[in-house]
Amino acid sequence: MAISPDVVLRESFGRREFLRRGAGALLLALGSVLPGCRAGEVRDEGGPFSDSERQILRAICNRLLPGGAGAPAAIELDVAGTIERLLRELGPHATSDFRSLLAVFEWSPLLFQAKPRRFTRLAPQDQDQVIRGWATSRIGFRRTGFVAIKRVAMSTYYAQEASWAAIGFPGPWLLS
Amino acid sequence: MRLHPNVVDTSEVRGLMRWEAEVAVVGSGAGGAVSAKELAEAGIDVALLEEGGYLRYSDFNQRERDMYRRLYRDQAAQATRDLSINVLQGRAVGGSTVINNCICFRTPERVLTRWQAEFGLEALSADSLRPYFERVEATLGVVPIVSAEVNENNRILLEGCERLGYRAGTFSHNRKDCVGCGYCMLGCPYERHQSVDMNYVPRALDAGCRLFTRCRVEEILTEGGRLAGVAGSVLDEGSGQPRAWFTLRAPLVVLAAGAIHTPALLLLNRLANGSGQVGRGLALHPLAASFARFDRLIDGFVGIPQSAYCNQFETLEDGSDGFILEGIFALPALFASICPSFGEEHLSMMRDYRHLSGMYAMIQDDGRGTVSLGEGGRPVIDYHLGERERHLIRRGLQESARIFFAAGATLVTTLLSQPLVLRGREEIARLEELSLRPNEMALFSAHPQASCRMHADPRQGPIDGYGESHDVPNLFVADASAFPTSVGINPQITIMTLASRQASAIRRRLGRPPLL
Repeated sequence: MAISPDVVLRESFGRREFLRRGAGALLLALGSVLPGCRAGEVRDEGGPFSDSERQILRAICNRLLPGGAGAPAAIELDVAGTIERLLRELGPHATSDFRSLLAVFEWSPLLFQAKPRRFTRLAPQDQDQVIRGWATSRIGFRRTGFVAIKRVAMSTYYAQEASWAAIGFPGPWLLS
Repeated sequence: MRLHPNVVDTSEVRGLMRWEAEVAVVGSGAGGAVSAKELAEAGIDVALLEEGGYLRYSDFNQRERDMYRRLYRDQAAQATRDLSINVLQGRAVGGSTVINNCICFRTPERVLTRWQAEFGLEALSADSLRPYFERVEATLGVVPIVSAEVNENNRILLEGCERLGYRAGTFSHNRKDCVGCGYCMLGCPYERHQSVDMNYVPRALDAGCRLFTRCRVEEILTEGGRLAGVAGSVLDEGSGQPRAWFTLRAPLVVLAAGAIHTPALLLLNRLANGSGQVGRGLALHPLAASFARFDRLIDGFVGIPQSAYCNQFETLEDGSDGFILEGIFALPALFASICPSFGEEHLSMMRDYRHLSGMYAMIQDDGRGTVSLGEGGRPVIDYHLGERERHLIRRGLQESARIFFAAGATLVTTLLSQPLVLRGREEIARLEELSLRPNEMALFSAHPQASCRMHADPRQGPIDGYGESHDVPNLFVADASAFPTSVGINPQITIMTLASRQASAIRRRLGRPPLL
């Protein structure tokens, strides 16, 4: 239920503790060598993500927050870009777990469903199925990973005034 | 805004600062503010140290994106190691009293009786504490919430309970002329929330106490085995990183940094732990929320967020500890982060935002958690629900659903990642099947406690019945970590009452008249 997106990231990925227990350590180690998160992969403008990692995060955010009927989509409020900027401020130490998590996410159809597919190349409804698999997994690492990404994405999106009209929230009494 | 002249400006401090006082109080929340005021008014030279900033009403802008950052410990992201329970605490002058919902309960007699019988704390009777309760309540201006102040969200709880014949009521609170904006948890911009920064802290300052903000205590100083003061970092307001250092020499120290950071500080300094119990016994009062949809508009974000409760299950049929149900609501970013599911299903629930009513079960848990030291000496919270707590959560969610349906809800949902939606009371039994593995359901805590417990026996608790260390004379604890067990109710009045009683004892020791 954490709220400030930057701190959610720091608490989740800066301490390098919760994801590194049990199966989490193994999966993160695997994620660090999977395509989509290789150490040598080109990253631009000093950002924490390569283009492929950026695509994975955008794809996840777009399924978490697809928008519609008056609600802006995640991409319209630049949710993935905001998360990336926050991670950049935290530095490489804090972002490596997040990058590994993205790689595991990208390859989770193969890792957890024995389907030789990548998350970003699935149809939207199949992507939703993969995300649901993380949310309800018997593996604690996956549930925790889902919660961490969901929290930061949802709190980033709904802290923005542009999201409020769709849910009927009139906003604070005080003018900004 | 011009601050009191006894607020020491640390914004320009560089290098190593050296300060002195008769008493150092670490933390300015419910415990520390009371200590500072009650000691300073006896003419004692008190230095009050606060890690957070001194925000005033004009700083509170009702924006989640700003205020969680500025007012909360770890900017509202503090959590158990596995992220399964979010532990909310304030970090500012006034501590958690600035961001709580002003709920005022006296310590239940059944709890005091247990503390007397099982922890050797015979002096902690309801009768002996009564004058301290009264003094605290008078200082805060505690009054009952009247019917006209109960918003629609909380009225649903009362209506449901009435139809079911459940015992329920409205809280007493420390607000004055509330305007009902609903933003209590982001700090009150209208100065109606009577948090300790509105009463105890100003009175401490008027009495000569000096307040040092953005000062993080990291070291407890001893010399020749005797307590000598504290030391730590002065934090930069922008980055939160250390910018300077300080030592504060004081022969008596009151720790009131909260139930996570007080034990962490003692562990870091390898002090006062002859019992081996520092950091052990942590209780969290896990909060398990559910939300219900009503056809009419509820607008739970308007009005006093928490005004009604049900204490039918405070103790269960077999006499064991149970739970209290309290009305609750959340602003959009917070609610969205705990709202079940994702994608279109999540958006569909968010679209019902104005039609939702919220309630949580606050579990009186066993002290099965621990505070230990992690990377860089940072506190790490480990807490796992036991079978008793899981049972109470299931039961609490079932009773919440029963109340919602009795009040006319069309559906009830829990905060499971995979939504579990109940469409009628005949489906309530499905909640019995919840496994409640970590991170299956959003759980949170606003009441960490009992991690440095009072016990008459030095082998079984680090501090005695006045909160003084068994091992280190003149080292006191004045926050919720001192509770022997969880209290089962919102704890601010208990913290402040015990701190008042402790301050009276310290006054006597320092040759000043006692409080009462």
